[in-house]
Amino acid sequence: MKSVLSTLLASLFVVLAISSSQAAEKAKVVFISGKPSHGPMSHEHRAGNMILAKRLNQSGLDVEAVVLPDLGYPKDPSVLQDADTIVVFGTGHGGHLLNPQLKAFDGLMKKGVGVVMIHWATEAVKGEPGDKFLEWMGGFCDLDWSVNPHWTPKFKRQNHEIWNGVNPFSVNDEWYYHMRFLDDPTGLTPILTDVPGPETLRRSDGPRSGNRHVRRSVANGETQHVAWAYERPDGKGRGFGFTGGHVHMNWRHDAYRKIMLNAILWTAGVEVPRNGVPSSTPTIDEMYSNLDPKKGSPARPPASAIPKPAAARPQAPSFQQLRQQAVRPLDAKRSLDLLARRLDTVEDVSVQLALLEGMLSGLQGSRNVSPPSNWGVTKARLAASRSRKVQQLAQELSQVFGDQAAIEAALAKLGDVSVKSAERRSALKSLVTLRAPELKERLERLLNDEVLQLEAIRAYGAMADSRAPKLILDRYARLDFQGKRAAVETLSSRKEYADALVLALKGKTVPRSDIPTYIARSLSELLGERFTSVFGDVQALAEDKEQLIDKYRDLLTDKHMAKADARKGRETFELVCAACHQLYGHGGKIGPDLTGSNRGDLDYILLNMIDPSADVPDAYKQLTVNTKDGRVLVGTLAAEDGQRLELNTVGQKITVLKRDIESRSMSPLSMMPEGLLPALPESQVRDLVKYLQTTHQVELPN
Amino acid sequence: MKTVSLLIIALVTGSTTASAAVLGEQHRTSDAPFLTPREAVAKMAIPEGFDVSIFAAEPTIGEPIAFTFDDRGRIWVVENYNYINRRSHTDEKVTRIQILEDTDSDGVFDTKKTFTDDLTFSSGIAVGFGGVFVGAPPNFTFIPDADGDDKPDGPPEILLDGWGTNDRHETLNSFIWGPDGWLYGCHGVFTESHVGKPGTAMADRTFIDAGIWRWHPTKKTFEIFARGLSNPWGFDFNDQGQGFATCCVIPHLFHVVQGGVYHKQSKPHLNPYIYDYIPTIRDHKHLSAHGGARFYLGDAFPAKYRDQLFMCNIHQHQLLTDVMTPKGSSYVGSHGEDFMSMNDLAWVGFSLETGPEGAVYILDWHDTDVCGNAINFPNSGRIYRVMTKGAKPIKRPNIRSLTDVQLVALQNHPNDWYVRQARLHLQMRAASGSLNRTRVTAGLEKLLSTAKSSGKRLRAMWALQVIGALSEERLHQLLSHDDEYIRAFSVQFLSEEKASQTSQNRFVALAESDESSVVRLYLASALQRLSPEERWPILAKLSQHAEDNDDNNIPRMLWYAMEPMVPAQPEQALDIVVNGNMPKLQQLTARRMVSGDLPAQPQRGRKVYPGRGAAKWQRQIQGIAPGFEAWDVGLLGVVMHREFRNQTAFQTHPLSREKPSILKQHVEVPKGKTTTLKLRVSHHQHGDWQLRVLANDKVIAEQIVGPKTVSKDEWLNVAVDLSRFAGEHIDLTLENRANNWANEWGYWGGARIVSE
Repeated sequence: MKSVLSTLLASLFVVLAISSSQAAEKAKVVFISGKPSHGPMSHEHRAGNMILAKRLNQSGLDVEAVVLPDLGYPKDPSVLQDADTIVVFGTGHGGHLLNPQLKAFDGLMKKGVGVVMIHWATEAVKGEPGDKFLEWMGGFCDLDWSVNPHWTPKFKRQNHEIWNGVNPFSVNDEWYYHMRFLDDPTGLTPILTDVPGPETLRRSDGPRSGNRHVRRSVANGETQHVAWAYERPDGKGRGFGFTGGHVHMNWRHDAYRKIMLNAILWTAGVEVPRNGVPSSTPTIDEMYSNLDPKKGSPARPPASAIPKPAAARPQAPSFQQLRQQAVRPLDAKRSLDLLARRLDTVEDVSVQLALLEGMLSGLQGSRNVSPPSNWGVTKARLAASRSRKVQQLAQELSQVFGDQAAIEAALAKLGDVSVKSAERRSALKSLVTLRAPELKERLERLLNDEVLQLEAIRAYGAMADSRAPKLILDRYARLDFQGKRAAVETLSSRKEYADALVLALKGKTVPRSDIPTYIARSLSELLGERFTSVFGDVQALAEDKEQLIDKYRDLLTDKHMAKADARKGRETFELVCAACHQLYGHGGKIGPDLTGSNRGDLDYILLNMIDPSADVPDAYKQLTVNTKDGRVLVGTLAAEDGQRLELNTVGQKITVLKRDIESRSMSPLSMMPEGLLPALPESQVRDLVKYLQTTHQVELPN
Repeated sequence: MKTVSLLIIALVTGSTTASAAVLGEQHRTSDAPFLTPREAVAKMAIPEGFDVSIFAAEPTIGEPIAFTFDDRGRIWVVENYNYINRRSHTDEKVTRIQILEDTDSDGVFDTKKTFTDDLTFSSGIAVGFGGVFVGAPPNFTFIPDADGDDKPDGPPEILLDGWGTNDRHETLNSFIWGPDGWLYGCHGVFTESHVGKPGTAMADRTFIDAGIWRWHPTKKTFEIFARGLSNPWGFDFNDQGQGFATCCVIPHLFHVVQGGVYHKQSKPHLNPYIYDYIPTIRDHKHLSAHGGARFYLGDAFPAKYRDQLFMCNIHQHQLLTDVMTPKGSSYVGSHGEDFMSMNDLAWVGFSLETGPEGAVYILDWHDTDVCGNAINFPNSGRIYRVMTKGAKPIKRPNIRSLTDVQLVALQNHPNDWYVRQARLHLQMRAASGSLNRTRVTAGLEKLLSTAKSSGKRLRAMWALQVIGALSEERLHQLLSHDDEYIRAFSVQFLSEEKASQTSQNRFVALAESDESSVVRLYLASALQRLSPEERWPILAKLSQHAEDNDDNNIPRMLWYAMEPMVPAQPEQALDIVVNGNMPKLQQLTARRMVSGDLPAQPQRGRKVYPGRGAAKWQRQIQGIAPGFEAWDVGLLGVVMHREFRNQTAFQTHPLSREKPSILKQHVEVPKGKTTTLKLRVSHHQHGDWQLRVLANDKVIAEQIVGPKTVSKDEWLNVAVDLSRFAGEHIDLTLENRANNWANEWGYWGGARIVSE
């Protein structure tokens, strides 16, 4: 009993002390900063608070601001007891620092203490926290109701003292909008307000990205309030919500900062001066001061201010951590030396083979690699091996090391028709990989070689030769289907070749129908109008895909489809689709196999053909690689390591060394081109769809 | 009249056979008729000696996506009414969890309760620890119900967030309590998740795009258990606690071990130096997709089904079984039986459970579109029970009402349902401090020492582990146990947190001489949980075992443990593999040594920097472009040049052909003065670009910067008068914009605002 009484007395005393002290002392503003979140220069809770507090203290007004040293709710809540207003800048929702303290904080609010919530701190969990936020400041950011796009509203003056001394302004930030407000707007005044455009809702629905309520509201052109002031009923204190504050740099914006300073003053019950709270623009250096310790933070706060991390349990390092630990980069020369020394001493053939095979696959696509020290000795030892396989692998390795004798041996095989075809092809391939200069003069002859013709055409892709277009085009008419395809692919892989290909298209040496869509797309990117003026527009894209889908749905009614010819459709498929897609076990493997797809469904076909990039897995995104020697390769990424990447291109799998790459860009778009259907005459579209909807393979027309 | 109707029949039949999918063929959708649950059961080819009952069906349940049993033998079913297709779902709070109870054990529910209908898209469920764990991307949540009154005590608590929804039929799913007290779940390949506790910075999150993950309910930690697979939607542990996953598209069956990296559908592995993933263990083929996986460890079916893996095949519309035959540290998965054909193209078996009476329960999503591209039969779905004919009702279980001693006794139960439920309660009681630890430990230790089979011994050991009764000392004793699985799990449990030096010394000894490949596999798994330096001695021993060369797991697992160390210590790596007996390790080490390094921070895809540039850059550019901020920098980011065409400069690149890289700042243009923006810019040797200056989003100047426009010193000076904005605040933007797409680099030698 006694203790209850004394507590009661004590709290009475505190209340009395506050009310009596208010008149005499400055209004007290307490800033609470949440724990770090997001990357550097965003959600800089503590640094942002410090900028604001410093300016309040320098303002010369009757206000005293304190930034609490703890991150999160103060361990000793008594520091809040004499606050006139409390500013909370920290993580929201499930991580809101007030969640475990709702009751205690509510006590303060009921006493009439003001509150300001900045950015994520405006976001409350539905239910009790949300309801409390409504009581305290009239609104909150609510999941599946509010959204958080980055946008640039234009703020007009509102009739409220928070706008004192502020001109209309506009700032880009992650301004959350479509807040959950009290049903009864009494006491609520919008402070920062504008009408967002539909571009702020480009993301698909999600807890913070969109929902049907906000979509309707934006479609109706409703005004959205991204900062608001609230007077609690019966003069029981004031609240202010401000959804900007994501971008730390924005505190440099004078109007933006002044709105916030005025609002803090207002919630503390202090009259805002006619010209607002005066304050200096923070310098760049100040902006980079006091930042939370985050990965990549440019500066660290004084050690004393960093909360001590709890003792972490010992844990094995993750993959990423291991990567970072392995700071010493692999030294290529040293690695090769180490391996060569082993090859010098190891007797066991199986170990030799394993090491040689490993080295060859690790060096795949490499050329003129400088050989390990004393490679001559090692090579001689391996050449004398009793294992034929060891001899052969050592020879191949020597080629990678630019060993002239090994290259001569491969060159000799090229011209020797008595050598097995497979070995000759492999010799040519390795010479191309090595970019052997001696190969250049022999390629022309190989264009007439029955066995090596296809590889020889492709070799001109890797080895630039100004005579290549003429050499290849002169033979074009006599090439078979595969040869023609390889010729077109090769001639579209370099700018100087491509110009010749366009001339050939113009002169009809190469018929337009020999250019498959993926090559047309690549050529139009490479040459632009020079190509499209001859070939026509590749990407004739309708803006509205849904409209286009509707158009084709009308075109492909049962009545129309009755006239379509699946066999002709297969012909179109071979030209347009088969380079990338399999159907009935025939075709390329760049895109998904269509045999098991939902081909029977017209909508499925139309959606995937008209809007293939609507939701495209990384595996099918188009990667364009420009090499330093002027090659343009287009494909999907099959594999990549530190030295090379493997590209699934339409004709073949190509290994490209990273040191040969000038630039690479991964398109957000699917490798699958969008303008496929509009590029085809309507009858051809019908035939193609008919073929796609077949359940069994059909014959090609004669 | 008669002929006419015959004609119509012929037409109808003709059209359906033309386009309908045929049973046993790969298909994604069909025009199967909607069968009532009764009609569906009538079409099922129910095997001799079994009965199928309709436990629940529409309208009681609809769009069921996941289900699980609680400790009273009641079924909790998640009904995902938010699902639209793989690309979209609604956000209304309409997803529901219902509790269905079969009070008289006749295989048909008798009472139902709504636990909550206030959820959005959810795909996984597990009950325990005073509440319900729900997978509801982007969150993994816990809905508390501490008093067990079947009403949530509050809103879902977010345990982890960052789960993706790129493909809505590949989200977190198939939750199951593992024998070690972790909650396991599956994740599909086309959904990309960055998992962490709420508020975790992106850099500290764990990426997962295909694999098996786990969450510890009391330590509150999250781990990736294994990586790879396609869209695994079934995961279970066999009698020996070995994990098995069922998959789609890629081969269907995998033995999943801790730290394993598996065949991955369509995408490269996260670590490009994996080189060689662990392949399937199956020796036969099914059609593509599978849902659910449960070893039959019940006591009602004929003995031959014990330890067979039941799974639903979605394209074959069948309940199938596979039989696992041990091979080395792994298994060969052979076809068991086409246990039951449903003969209904709209049957979509998503999930399986075995029940307290030993029955197999099947969750049927029920739709003609079996790949989740559409919902053609909205608000439908069934749970069927497959049970032996003439089964007698059982006494309904109530595990939570049992004493500690009774829970211990249940570890010996012939139906693993009781074993698992009792183990979960032992773990919960240990966590809450209400367990009589001394008695329980004694009881379990007794079981461990007297049990006649590996399975029984393991159950005693697992229970001891989940109540925290296995001290390091005890586990060290168990490392010498006769049972290889006891030794193997001792290795695993000693490595839950980082293994001590004493444990590591024991591991070295085991690595050298343990005769069991299962133990050697577990040692290989443990390696990945040690720091690099600590791995070498154990690796050196394990790589001696030539008898493991053909093992499906061991050489690959050793490589995964070794690979990260090769770049830092190639010499040591080479020593170990050359002195070892594993050609695969020799080959991969040589390959790794010569194939270069990744950049220190692995970057996926090209290096472009959409959004605000790194803080470091913002600081760097202040000397040249004071007050400006760099945004949307493409290839290579902001690059500083101390010397570029005779002066300091920095370089930017457009983000894309359409999206320029920009420098921006907010400027207050002073009144009564002449204010000029002074720019000094240059171009790449082989390219040009378009410079644009915008004030408040309006273009006020533009200019091509290229060889033709620069002056002799190869720089272009541009002055833009800003005086017309005097007294105003303006947003000033400088664009480095592509004019074509060849070397669009912009070089900035100065960008200053001068007022005079």
